[in-house]
Formats: sequence, structure tokens, C-alpha cells
Amino acid sequence: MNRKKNRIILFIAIFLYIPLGLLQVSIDYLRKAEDLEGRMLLMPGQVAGSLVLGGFRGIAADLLWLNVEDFWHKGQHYKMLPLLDSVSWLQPQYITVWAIGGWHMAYNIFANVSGNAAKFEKQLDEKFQGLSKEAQKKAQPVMKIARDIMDLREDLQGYDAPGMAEDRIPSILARLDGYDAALAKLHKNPDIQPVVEIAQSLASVPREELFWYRKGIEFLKKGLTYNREKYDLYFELGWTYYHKGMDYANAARYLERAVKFPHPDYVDSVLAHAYELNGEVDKALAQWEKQLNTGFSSVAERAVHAIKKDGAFTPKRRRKLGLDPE
Amino acid sequence: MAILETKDLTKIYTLGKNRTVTALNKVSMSVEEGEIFGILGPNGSGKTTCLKLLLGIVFPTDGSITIMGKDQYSVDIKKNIGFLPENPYYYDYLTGPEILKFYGRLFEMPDSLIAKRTDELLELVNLQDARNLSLKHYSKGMLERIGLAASLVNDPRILILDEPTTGLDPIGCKETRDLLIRLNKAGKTVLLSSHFLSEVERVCSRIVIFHKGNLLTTGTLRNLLEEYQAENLEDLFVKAIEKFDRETGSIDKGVE
Amino acid sequence: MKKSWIIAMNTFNESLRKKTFYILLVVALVVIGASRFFSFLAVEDELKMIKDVSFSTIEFFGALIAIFTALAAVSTEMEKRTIYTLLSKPITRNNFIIGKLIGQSLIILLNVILMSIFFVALLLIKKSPPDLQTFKTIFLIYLSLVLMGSITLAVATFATDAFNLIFSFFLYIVGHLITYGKALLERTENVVLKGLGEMLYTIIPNYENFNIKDKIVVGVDVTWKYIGQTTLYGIIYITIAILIGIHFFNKREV
Repeated sequence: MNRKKNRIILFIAIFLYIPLGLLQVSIDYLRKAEDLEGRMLLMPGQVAGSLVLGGFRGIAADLLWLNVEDFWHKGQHYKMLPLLDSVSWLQPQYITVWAIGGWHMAYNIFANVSGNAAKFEKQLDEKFQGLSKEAQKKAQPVMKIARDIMDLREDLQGYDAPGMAEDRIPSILARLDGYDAALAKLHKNPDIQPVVEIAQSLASVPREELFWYRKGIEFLKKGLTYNREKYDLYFELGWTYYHKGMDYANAARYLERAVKFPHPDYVDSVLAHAYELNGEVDKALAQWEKQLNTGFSSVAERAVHAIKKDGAFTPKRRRKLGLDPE
Repeated sequence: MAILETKDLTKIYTLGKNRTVTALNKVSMSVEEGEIFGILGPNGSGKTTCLKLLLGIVFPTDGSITIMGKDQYSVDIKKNIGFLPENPYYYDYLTGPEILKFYGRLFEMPDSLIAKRTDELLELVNLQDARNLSLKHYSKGMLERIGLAASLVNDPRILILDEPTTGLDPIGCKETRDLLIRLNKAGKTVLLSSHFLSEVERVCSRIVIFHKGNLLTTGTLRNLLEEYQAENLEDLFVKAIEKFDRETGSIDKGVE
Repeated sequence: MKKSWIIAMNTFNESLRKKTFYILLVVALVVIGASRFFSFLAVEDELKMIKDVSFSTIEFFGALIAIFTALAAVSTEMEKRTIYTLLSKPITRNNFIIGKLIGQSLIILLNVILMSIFFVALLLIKKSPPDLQTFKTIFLIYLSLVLMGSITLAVATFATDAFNLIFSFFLYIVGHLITYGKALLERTENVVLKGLGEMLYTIIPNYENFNIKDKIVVGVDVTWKYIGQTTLYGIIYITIAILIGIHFFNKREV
């Protein structure tokens, strides 16, 4: 063995660390530029933690996602939430998580909360009937507030309802604050306290409904920050604003962005509807005319004909747009 | 002319903190071309270390080795050497012909030549019937024989054998001895390390005796018997070792 | 080079004969196949699950094969003393190390190909044929496995099997975490720590460079430029490992 040659071999090996280091700088830059950097999250679960440590973020996310599905099927909706955060943190480009997470919040948890309203209404009635005549008289304002709350709830949902457009939300919250204050005052009367307490629970329902709707929107918007170059989350946001919130202005805004990327035909249809319901009938017409040669051509033809003839897609929509006098 | 020479060849192993073992101590010897050279010594005397040094498997602490006039680290030199280690072990998933092919290719022999040599060698070592058997099914004796065949695949000028008759029955030992003589008559130089004095006595033209890493004596059997006034090789062996122990009073143990 | 190739083929054939290889391969195929049984998930989730599990299985079991093959490369030859006969032949010690590297790279390649075929078959069954990004991912996984094997081989030339095994797995984990470690150290004011961090970041193999599987499954496209640079990184590091292995093996008494 030639000792000199052997030392040279070692020096070459050490020397090669220099180009290696420089190359690593370039790779680091590329990883940032191409969004290849992974995230580390110290998971409470040992399995997930060691998976993440071992570079198996994908599987860790999948396992957590299975748990989300499991909690959903068991009706344990609130337990899904931290897991949704974890999965979306591990793999922010996993669009399904954002889409389904947003749907769970704006629709499913919303519906869960909504179910409480009927329960509280029934309890309120029963409690009211159980009061003495005198107490019932004192409880009348409480019952009125309860009816107002139910009316407010009806305004939040339904095809013809004003909905949860962003510009309406401050006034809705203000009304709810007003009810809370009034009920707090009425609660001072010991004769009607049980009824007031149920009414207060009832008052929390629209507040919570609004909360989950807005949380779903926020979750989708957060997902959008990581997935700006795809139509999916623009559509999910647009659809949630359109269908759940009846916020047609925001719906149109996001759907306009969705159609800028490769997308299925139905996105264009929903945009057309959103334009129309937002009062932008000319834009709606133009949008329908674009679809005359697509898979939605039969719908588009009907829509174009109806709008040109009657000013709206359907008679119901004419009434909603206020084109027909009551 | 000496085909192989060592000068002051020394090997010291470091075993730990300030603990060293001298496996070979300033060994100078030469092997003439065409002779059968016997390397004798008790266990731990340095025989195998000497062979490993000659083959470049271990590296000398001091001294030099010249083989065919060249530095023993030259890869070309090894093309002329065949080696049979003590207790040979080969890739047990291979058959006899496959192991010969593997080694033959390392000698850059063409496959046709390897095939020819394989047939010859398997016949020579009497393993034709075990052609298709993988080495893991070989007995110890069969492994020795295939090892011998493997050491001859390149038709070497120098054959280095470390305890070649270990595990062989008496007939096998005789056959090996006859083979060595035949190979030597064909012009090969043989270095034979062995415990079996009778074997060495019968085949070797010159011998060297190692003890505790030191070369005690070297020469033809006749001259050494005269020098030590010994009756036979066994007597010579004992006397040479006793003489060394007396003269040196050394208690260092060599390492095989 | 020819002699290295001969040693490589011997290493490859020997590994093929080992039961460990087949056991690990079968277990890996079972795990990949098991990902199919998530049909209760929506179609796109099932595909993601199949891809995640398959890529991770190829990497994990590939790592086991890479490390164990490399461990056996030197130590088995020494234990069985086949190395004596081998080194007595007209080969250099460089031939031995390079031959072992090529041999174990071939066995890893075979393993990766077999697992990939199974994975691709699953995708085709789900009517979602693999795209170029899938093959880029598999290629980088393979390269990282060869790197892993080369480091284990290099360490095998001077360390015991037990140390090497622990060290190899330790390096696997650290190699994935090193990027985060560097990000953390960048926040420190301590110049010495920062410098140490930079040094370790260069020395420790950055396996995250090769880890694109988590991004591919969610539709991120990886450019050829990135593949090219990472490949070069792998080649340079493998060269470093092998040179270090050759250096120590040249000094090793067998």
C-alpha cells in the first residue's frame, strides 16, 4: 500500500465537501423556489412523531386524516378540528384537507349547531307553559326575543333569505348583542330566570352558526394561500359563499378566479348563477353564452333564452332579484 | 535465482494501550525458483503471518519483500501466484466450476480457457462428480481440494499453501503430496506451510523453521540435520527451538 | 473496472441467495398491497394513501436492504475469510470496495424495481397511471438508498457491525432532520454554534434533498433542474463515502 497515495485519496474525499457544500446552497434555494420544503411538527402521538422524523410526513398526514374521517362518522365533529390543522400543516398542498375541512365547518358543524335551536325552542315553550300566569306576563319580552332570534335565523339561510353576506354580518352580530343585553337584563327577575336561560341558549345558536360558517370560510382562505395556482379552493370558497352564505358578491369574486385555471365546466355555470344573483345580469348572460359549446350547452341555451326574454334564469329568480312586483 | 526474497521482514501488531505483539521479527529468507520450500514452526510462530505478508493481505511494519524482482504490492505479481489458505472457505452458494470461473475471471482469463482449466482441475483434485454441488454441501476434505484447484486455476509460477492437508485422510494427504511433486517437476515453486513434519520431510527441498516470530534456521534438510546433529526432522525441530529458547530466554509469543 | 464488476456480480448473486432479501421484499409487497384496502376513503384519498404508503415502503425497506447488504459486504468476507483468497488475487483493494458498492447498488435497484412494479400495477388497477413525477420520486429514493449503502460500506471498513448499524440508522434520522436543525441554529446569535451548524449541515448527508414524495402526492411538480442537482449531490457524496472507505480499507489488516 502506498501511504502517500492513500493520503491523497483522503484529501480528495475531504476536498469534495467544498463543491458539495456549494451545491447544497443551490439545492436549498431550489427547494424554496419550487416549494419542496417540508414541515416538521412534533406530534403528541409517538407513531406520527417518528414517522415525521423519518421523513414520512405523507403517511403521518394520512393516518391523521383517517382519524378525521373516523371522528366525522362518529359525529365527534369538534375532535376533527385539531387534526385538520395538523394534516393541513403537514401537507399544505393536500387540497382535499382544506376542501373537506371547510365543508365540515361551514356545513356539518353548522348543521349540528342548528339542530339545537329546535330543541331550545321546545324547551322554552314547555318552560313558559309551566310558569304562573303572572310570570308568563313578565316572560312575554323573553318570548318576543326568542321569536326575533328565530326570525333572524331564518334570514341566515334559505334560498330567499338575505343570507350571511359579509356586509350583513356586523349588523347581525349587533342584533345578537342587543338580544344578549336584553336577556341579561331580564335575567335579573328571579320569576322568569329559567325561561331567560333557555332563551340565552337559543340566542347562542345563530352566533355559533355564524361562527362556524365564517370559520369554514377562513379555513378555505388559508388553504388558498398554499394553493393559488389551482381552481379547486377558489371554487370551494365561491361555492360556500354562494350556497351557504348567499354572499353572491364574494361568490362571483372567487369563482372569477377559479375559471382562470383549468377547471371543470360546472364552475362556469356556478359563476353565471352567482353573477345573476349578484345583480350582474349582463355578465351572467355573457358567461352563459361562453358555455353554449360545452357540456352545459343545454342549460346554457335555456339560460340565455330566459335571461334575454324575462331578465332572469327562472321566475323564482326574477322575484328574488326584485324584477316582479310583490 | 531467488524468486522470492524477504529482508528484515517485521510485523508488530498493536493490541491496545502500549501492548504490542511481534508476530515476525526481522525475517530474512529467500526461496529459489523451482524448489518446494517448507515453512515449519509451532502454533503462533508466525508462519501464517509470513504468508499473509507475502500476499499483501497484511502490511509489514518494517523490512521488504521482493517477488520475481518486484515490489509485492504490484497487482501483476499476483497473476503468478496461487494461494490456498488454511481452512479455506468460499462463497457457499457457488458450485466448484462457478468458484473457479469467478477466480479465473479475476485473473483476466478468457472464459474458454477457464472452462478448459476447470475440467482439468476438477479431474486433478477428483471432484468431477461434485460438479453441480454447491460448496455449502462440501465436506472439509472437498473444500481443501476445491481450494487447491482454485489456487491452480491461473497456472501460477508460485504456489503458496497454508496447511494444505488439514482435514484430508491419509490417501488424500498422499495424493496432495504427489500432486505437489508433480507441479514442482512442471516448474512451479511451492511454499508449503505445515504442521505435518513427515509431509515436509518427504516433499521439501529446503525448509525454514519459525519460532515466536523469529527465523531459527533455514537450509536443506540434510545440512540442517548435520548442523543440529539431529536424527530426523522432528528431532531437528525440537533442538532448534530449544537452542533458540536457551540463547534468548525470550518469553514473547508470536502470533499466527 | 472490469474486476470491480466481477466482484460486483458476485456480491449481487450472493445477496440474491440470501433469505433476508426475499423476506424483506415480501413484507414490503404486503404493505404496499395493504394500502389498497382503504377503499372506504374517497377515490382521490385512496390514491394518495396508495402513493404515500408505496413510496414510504420502497424507501424504508430499501433502506433496510441497503444497510444490511453493506454491513455484510465487508464483515461477512472477513468472518468467512473469503477475503484472504480474494485479496491474494490480482485485484486492488479499490476493486474490492468499488465492486461491493456496485453489487449492493444492483441489489437495491432490483428491490426498488420489484416494489415499483407492484406499486404501478396498483395504480393501473385504480385507473390512475403513474406520471413522470412518480418515476422521478422513485429515482431519487433509489439514489438516496445507494448513498445510504455507500456510507454504511465506508464505515464497515473500520468499525464493528454493531456500531455501524446504529450509526447508519442514526444518520438516516439526522439526515432528515438536519434542515430543521440548521433553520433553528440560524436564529441563534452565537457565532460558534452557527458555524458548527453550517459545518454539520455540509458534512451530514442531507436525505431531505431526495425526499420529494410528500410533495409529489399532492401534485407539486419537481423540475429536471432540481433532479439534476440532487443527482449530482448524490454522486459527489457517494464518491466521498467510497473514497473514505477505500482509504480505510487500504490501511486495514485483514
